[in-house]
Amino acid sequence: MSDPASKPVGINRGLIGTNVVIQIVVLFALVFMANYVSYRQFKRTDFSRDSKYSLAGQTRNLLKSLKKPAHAYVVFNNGAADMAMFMDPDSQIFAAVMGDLTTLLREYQLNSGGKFEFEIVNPYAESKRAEELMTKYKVGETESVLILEYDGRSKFLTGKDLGEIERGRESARLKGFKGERAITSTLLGLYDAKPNKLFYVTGHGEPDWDGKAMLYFRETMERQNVKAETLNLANVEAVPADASVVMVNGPRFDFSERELKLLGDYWEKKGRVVVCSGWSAKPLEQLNGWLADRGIRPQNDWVNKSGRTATGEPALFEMVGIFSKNPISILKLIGGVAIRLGDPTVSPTQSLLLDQNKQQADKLTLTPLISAPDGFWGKVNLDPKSQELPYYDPKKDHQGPLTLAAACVKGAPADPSVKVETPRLVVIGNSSIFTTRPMEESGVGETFAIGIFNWLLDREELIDIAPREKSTKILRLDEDPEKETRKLKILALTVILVVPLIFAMIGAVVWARRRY
Amino acid sequence: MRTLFHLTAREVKSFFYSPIAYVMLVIFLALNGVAFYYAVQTLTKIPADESVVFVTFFSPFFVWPFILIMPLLTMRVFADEFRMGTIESLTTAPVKDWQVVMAKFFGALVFYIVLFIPTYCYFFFYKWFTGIPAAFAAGPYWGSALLLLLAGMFFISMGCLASALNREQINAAAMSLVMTVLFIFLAALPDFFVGKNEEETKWLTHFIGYISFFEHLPTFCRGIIDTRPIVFYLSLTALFLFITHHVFQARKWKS
Repeated sequence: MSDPASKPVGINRGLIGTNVVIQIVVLFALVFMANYVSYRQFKRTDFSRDSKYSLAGQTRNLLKSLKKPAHAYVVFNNGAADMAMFMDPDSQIFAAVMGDLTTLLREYQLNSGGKFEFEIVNPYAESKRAEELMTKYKVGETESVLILEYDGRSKFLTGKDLGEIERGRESARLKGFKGERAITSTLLGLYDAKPNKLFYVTGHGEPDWDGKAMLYFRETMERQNVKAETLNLANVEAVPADASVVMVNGPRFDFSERELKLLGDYWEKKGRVVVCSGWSAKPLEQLNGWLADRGIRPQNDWVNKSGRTATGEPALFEMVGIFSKNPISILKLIGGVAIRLGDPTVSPTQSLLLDQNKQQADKLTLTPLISAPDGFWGKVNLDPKSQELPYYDPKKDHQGPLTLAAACVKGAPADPSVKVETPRLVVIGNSSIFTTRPMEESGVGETFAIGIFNWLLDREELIDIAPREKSTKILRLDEDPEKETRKLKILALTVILVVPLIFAMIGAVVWARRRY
Repeated sequence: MRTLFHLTAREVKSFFYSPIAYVMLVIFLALNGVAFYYAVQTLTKIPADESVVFVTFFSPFFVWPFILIMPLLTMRVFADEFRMGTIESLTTAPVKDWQVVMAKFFGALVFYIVLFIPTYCYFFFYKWFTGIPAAFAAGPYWGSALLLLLAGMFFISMGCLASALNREQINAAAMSLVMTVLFIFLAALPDFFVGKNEEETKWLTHFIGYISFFEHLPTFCRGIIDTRPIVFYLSLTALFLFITHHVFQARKWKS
């Protein structure tokens, strides 16, 4: 009889196999679940320089604010991108921007939480779909177009709206891609169906609205879906009822009592007013009085700071303002940042006094927006004809800190989260802040303008950095073409030949040592 | 852990003692050099808003060697043991099966990392030589390195499975190549599906976008770190290694 203990134990292969299959199925399920959760809850962080591949804050805010789904349809014959030179000019631009555009639309999709979808339609391969879109959105005869649709409203963008190309002999090169700017601005127009009208007051020597000085500001407002019209208060019975904002920019002559009454009537009816008024040799008494009634008193002092150059010559510093760090949403991004306001003799600045008594008596909320940095002071009764630098008189002149811009809200609720329509006013003691140079020089001026106007328009969710145009450039290894060619040759030699050869030699040594 | 470390060291050594590995290294480096040179030359001719790092990794001179290197790296990991007859001694040795699988995987991964070190040195050489950085922020360097590591882990794990399933190296290489090519060229599908918003294909567009290597590569090479590909590659690597482990173990209970 054999000993039962020494009998080999049988393996139940079927059981083991089943166990393995179950384990693999369970792991499959876990992998699926992990990926499902990861797909739904993900995070993207842009570590590129200036986060240049991320959407601008304003675009992200706009996408988050969408209450209904938005759609983009790109109608373009993508298959013929290599034949761009034979296309119409619009399609040529589409051919050049298509890669960037697809990436951008994907970013919009990713940042929208499922509210933005896009479709690319090749009019040759999918003629029925292309025709359907062209008819539905009344695009007309064009081969390439980007249609944007939101809540039953639609607009379309052509190649010129999206980019700029430089035509060479054989090909076209992309110079700049304006995609995000154009799409966000168009979406903004569709999202904010209510027309926002800015009335630009004229008749007091203000810079021409259609002139070069206001070009950048004008374009910025257009992109923010703000339509502008000029308004001469002397020729109207009242400020138009559809005015969203009234802007007084750099008047050289004073306002009449009647004009200020019209402006006051408008403001009291939950109106929104911006006044940019710098130092003037002849003070604008009436306008300053109107502003003082609203708690912000222009001082008509000439804000400046002088010092000595490297050679010891006395000189004036460039006028600079610092954005305040305050809870008001206008400045959420630029609080503490400086803005250059130019030569104080060319664009003189005056300081503003916030009237605390008025604040309490008239239920006004006064908030400083820009202040002058240390060392700046306000010269009272400046002699404009004097060639000498002004001196500081402690008895008369205004010492810092000085307020250069402020906001006033009448009857604002104590809780800032409660939204109530109230009269709002922004006063800036400089007339050139919205002119092209300070606006163009840095993104700060543009962000400030967008902040102010969106705050005045009750669109606080859109206060953020606006999308900017992306430009392309050629890499230059050296200014001298010959040196550049030489550098390229050395690079090629090093990376294609020298480095692999070094590893080949190491390999040969290892092989030889093991063999012998 | 100590056993795993010793086994991995053994695998790495076996890679570096093999002349084939040096041939692979030299060819891969030369092609990567071409990709790098092509990137610099392209950017000196065509105006662009991209970095040298991005154009290098997004060039066909990089992508094809990247695809072909995977089967070459992994074809021998298990199949070689079968060929040399050392598989029996390995399975009866006092080491656990998972340690063997992980050691094979890490051995191939170390060699894979070594393949890429010179390419990153090119970027620093370029900065030193021209005074212009290959990317103007650390993001593209780290992003591309992270993606190449994650994708490499995934493809190596796939190759390990192919090698464990085949006794012949050539079969393992062919299987691994087919799997890699199939996976990588799923990225070509977005050309047909991208932006197709019809309800019936919407999920497919999103799915392909989620798994496509050619979607992940530009994102990470631009310095954008996205958590989705990280989870995707790590989870699939774990899955393939788990299956490889069972395939390797099946030899014991099947016979």
